[in-house]
Amino acid sequence: MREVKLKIDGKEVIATEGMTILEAARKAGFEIPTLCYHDGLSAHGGCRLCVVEVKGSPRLLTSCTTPVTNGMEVSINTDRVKEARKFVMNLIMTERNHFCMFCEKSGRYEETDCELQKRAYEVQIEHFPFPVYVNKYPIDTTSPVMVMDHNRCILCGRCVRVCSEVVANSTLDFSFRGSKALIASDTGLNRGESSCISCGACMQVCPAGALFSKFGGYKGKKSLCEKIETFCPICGVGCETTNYVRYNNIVEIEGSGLAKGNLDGGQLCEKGRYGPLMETRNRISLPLLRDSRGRFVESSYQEAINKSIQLLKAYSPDKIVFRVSSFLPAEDLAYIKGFALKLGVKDIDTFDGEIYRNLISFDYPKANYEDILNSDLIILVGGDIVKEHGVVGSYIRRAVRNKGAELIIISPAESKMDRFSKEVRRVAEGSEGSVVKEYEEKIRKASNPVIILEGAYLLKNREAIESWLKFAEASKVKTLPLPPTGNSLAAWKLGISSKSNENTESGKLLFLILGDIDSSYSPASLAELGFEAIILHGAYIDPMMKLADVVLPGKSWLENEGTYKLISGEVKKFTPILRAEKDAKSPRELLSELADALRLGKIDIDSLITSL
Amino acid sequence: MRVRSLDDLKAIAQRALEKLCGRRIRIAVGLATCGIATGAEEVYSAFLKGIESLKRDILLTKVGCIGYCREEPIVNVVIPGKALLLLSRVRPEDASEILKNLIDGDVPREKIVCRVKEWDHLLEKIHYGDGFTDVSLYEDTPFFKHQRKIVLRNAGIINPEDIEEYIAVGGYRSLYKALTEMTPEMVIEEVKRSGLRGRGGAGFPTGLKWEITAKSESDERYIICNADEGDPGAYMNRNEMESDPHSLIEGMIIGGYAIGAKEGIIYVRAEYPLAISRLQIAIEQSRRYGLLGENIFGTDFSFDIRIVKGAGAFVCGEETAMIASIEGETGRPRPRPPFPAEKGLWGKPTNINNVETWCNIPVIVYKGGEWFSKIGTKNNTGTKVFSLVGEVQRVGLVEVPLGTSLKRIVYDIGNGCPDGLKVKAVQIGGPSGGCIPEGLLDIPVDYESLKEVGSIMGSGGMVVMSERTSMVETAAFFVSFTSEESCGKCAPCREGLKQMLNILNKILMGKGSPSDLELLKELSETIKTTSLCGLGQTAPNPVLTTIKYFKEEYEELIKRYD
Repeated sequence: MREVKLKIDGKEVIATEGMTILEAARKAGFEIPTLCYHDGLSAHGGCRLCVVEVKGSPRLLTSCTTPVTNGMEVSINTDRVKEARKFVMNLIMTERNHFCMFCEKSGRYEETDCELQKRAYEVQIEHFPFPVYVNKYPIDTTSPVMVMDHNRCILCGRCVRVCSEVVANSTLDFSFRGSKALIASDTGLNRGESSCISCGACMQVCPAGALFSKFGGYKGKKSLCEKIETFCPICGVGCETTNYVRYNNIVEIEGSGLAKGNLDGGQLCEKGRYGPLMETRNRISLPLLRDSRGRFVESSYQEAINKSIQLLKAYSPDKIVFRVSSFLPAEDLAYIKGFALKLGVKDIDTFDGEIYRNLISFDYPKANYEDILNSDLIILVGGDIVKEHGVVGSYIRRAVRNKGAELIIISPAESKMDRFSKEVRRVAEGSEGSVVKEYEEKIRKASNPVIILEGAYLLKNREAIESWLKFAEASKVKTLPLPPTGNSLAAWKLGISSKSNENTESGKLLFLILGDIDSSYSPASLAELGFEAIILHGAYIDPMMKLADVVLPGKSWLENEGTYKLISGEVKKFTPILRAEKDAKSPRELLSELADALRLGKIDIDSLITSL
Repeated sequence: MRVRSLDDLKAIAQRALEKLCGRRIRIAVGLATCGIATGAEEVYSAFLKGIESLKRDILLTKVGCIGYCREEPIVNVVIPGKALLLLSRVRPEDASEILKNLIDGDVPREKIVCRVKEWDHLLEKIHYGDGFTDVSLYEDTPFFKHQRKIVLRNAGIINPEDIEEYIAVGGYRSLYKALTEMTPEMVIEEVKRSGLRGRGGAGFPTGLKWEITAKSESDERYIICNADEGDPGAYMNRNEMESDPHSLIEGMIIGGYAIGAKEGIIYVRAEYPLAISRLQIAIEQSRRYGLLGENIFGTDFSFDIRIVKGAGAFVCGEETAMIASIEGETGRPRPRPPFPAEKGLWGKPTNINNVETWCNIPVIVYKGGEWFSKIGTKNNTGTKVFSLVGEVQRVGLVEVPLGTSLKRIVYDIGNGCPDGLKVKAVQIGGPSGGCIPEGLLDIPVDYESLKEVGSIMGSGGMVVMSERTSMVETAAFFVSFTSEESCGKCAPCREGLKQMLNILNKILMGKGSPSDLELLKELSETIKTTSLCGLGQTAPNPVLTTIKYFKEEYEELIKRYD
């Protein structure tokens, strides 16, 4: 990269070739106001707020689109520039309904969530110099997650760009012309009926009050919130997040990878951005014990612990069975394993252990995200990647849209991914493997084919994936089975899922550690297999509680600090976003109390964690 | 048949010359859109019927438009050995009378506009002959007298749907010359020497533009012909395409050779169905004759042209918006730099020129840049086609050397306003242009002079307004047009024009206040300096020039309220 020397407001600035004036100025510590510009998106040049004066140019130039050249002399704050900015801001402010005090995002300068308002304060707009003609534009509330109020839209196009450039879903675009321009979903559908995948990227980048969350709206300004930077561990992709929390409630979750130049471009999926806000399940808030008449009664925490100890002592280790969620921090998983070993329990498994055992016997080359992006043929087998691993879905779309990759979907159900594929093959659930033969030749002929196996239902079905994996192994086709939970990989690596559960039938005491998941993962028949007693530890009310003898409240993942092993192989430490109630414990906190009482000695997990 | 050599071309030319001025009587009906609108198709059918019933060997053919729109439908007739005669306002019922006369070697006098002894197609001269000496010569006819036809050299004379007639008047000889005698650099050099500037309006030197695109590093390059003519009242390009499509095609092939492009695209608005169909016919014919496609003239140069139809957005005439539209995106301009010459269509270096620019190329290559540069003035060489419309007596399409005064065009060619009205102003450059008052009509028509008085050359719309025209209404009309056609991408153009229109309407309703004039000026200046593309940057011109030259009209309207 060649160096470029230029002058900004008389000060010599060194930039690199290809930089825009805005980038060079910001790097050198100058501030130029922007609105339509957004880090990580292509420059739009629409709002004209970032105009600067460049010596030799009769017109003002937008700093966000003008590349630096050697010897350029830029003035970013002359009277002419300031006046032009104010004028343009005046036009934008009078264009639609920007009566700020009635807007969700409005606030004083220090606390507003609205970039438009902030800029207006900065250029000191105190009144409308032009007559305001309030035309009524539609308000689209059909999206399950956000509201689109066209009356507050400034047509900056950030949402359009993020939707096509980062998410690669291209739902949004401009429709109509001039002052009648309107952001449209697909060909002018309501958002809720469009191809929108509710990832919320558009909402995050909206600089005005046009797009806002149905969950966070009217819950308070971000400036009033505690801001916690961490990542989302739900699916194992591990997108970085900024979490805004007020009174121990999440107000909003934003992707933060964009500014860091992450591959994901700072996007999140619907589950990641809205999942915790959409949670409708009820928490287990108190320890419960079954009384002599078979009814649940509230108990003290200590009573519940005592009952658990009593049960663990009552059965010999070979009669005790551990069933554990893999969506727990590695510290918990390691502790559970250590606890079981010390106790002498051999039958321990995660709910997705079957998947591990299905995959382990094949030696196929593993695909990573880059492989997807560079692929020319992507075979997507199984469930709905948009819902399960949404951000990975964006890599597929980018490959299809930007590089012309071919996507073939083999799935029993419709998905919003279908419209990007050249071929959708509907198969009955469970017979995904039966069509491998038909695609073998095509895959072999491709130069960088990738097979993606999606969905717990699919990966649990050995018959469905066996032929794909055998083929991948034999033909050395890069393959990516997507794990069902955010820490499946750690659970598998720690060896929790490696046991076969042959001796289940002889089990008498079941120790269920559910974490956040509900037991729909576990066979409902588990309890019918002859267990005499069940200890249940989990965050949410679960159908399995009906059968439990002791129920202990657990932390949700939002409250539980710990380590996760991501699909990318990266190991990341999660910072809790919310505080747990007093009695809600993480599995390791609970088990260490039990271990003390059972005198199991110290359970060391450090080496296990470092081995991840 | 595939043309492989100059001899092939000459053989075709010889054959086709027989059609133009051979041993048969030739009747050519002007069938461009303007002619058709006044009933030329019915005239054509009437002649066809008449000839059939006479059972005589008379050649009936269609030609484009010679530009004298007021006199449409125009029919030209050639009696072997005699001068070509232009007949005006021919109605279907005139056909039998004309035919009868023609067979007797005569023509009804009252229909004749003028006679043409010899027509200079620049690459070839066609000598028709004498006769009808009592009829005024083309060169002496007021409407044609001051014109100089380079771009329209074939318009109205040859059949636009017959490649052989084009070849007969020297067509494709420039292409042959370029491909066999010149390197691409030499072609560019020749265009640079000619001094030709872009006829789309901005006047950027064409040769330089080609050179930049040719030198941009890339494995692929594209050339585009901008035929998205959208200025109200302007139809230069339409006629150029309808009357002489091969001229455009030949220009583009030469351009493709010079720039190193393999594909050319003609972006033409869908509202020009006749132009599109004639272009399609011409492209097909050129392919069939081996003049378009693989290995043209047997050289290793291959080039093809395809047509992309615009959906009717004015802004798509802007280069980057046009590229977006061709790529299948919404037609909205993109920030420049990067300029299309570096990163254009599909991210590849792209050269875009207006129809008229392309049509000049064959002449420049054949006659030499030197020859071309002597027409017009020093920095404004060549000719420019204008559509002279509005309140002017001789409405039509005129081609004059650059540097011709506006007075000459409006009065000598156009004969001023009808009904004895005085000319008040001339609006040049379409909605982006300005209104030039009568007092300034002495200025020469060139890029710089027009800019000096607040207008632009534009693509060639020239609207004459009489003393009864309200200049405030005129300004409001143009702003309503640009406001409607603003793409909406950048705020100053999108919202600023809307505000301007609101203020203008307020003044027109008699509710304006003196401060509105200041606000209008301020809005205009900001829109000009901060807009993204040419549309916004020039849209306030009609307002600024009318305020500058006709301020009293604004004040009069405002006073009424006070």
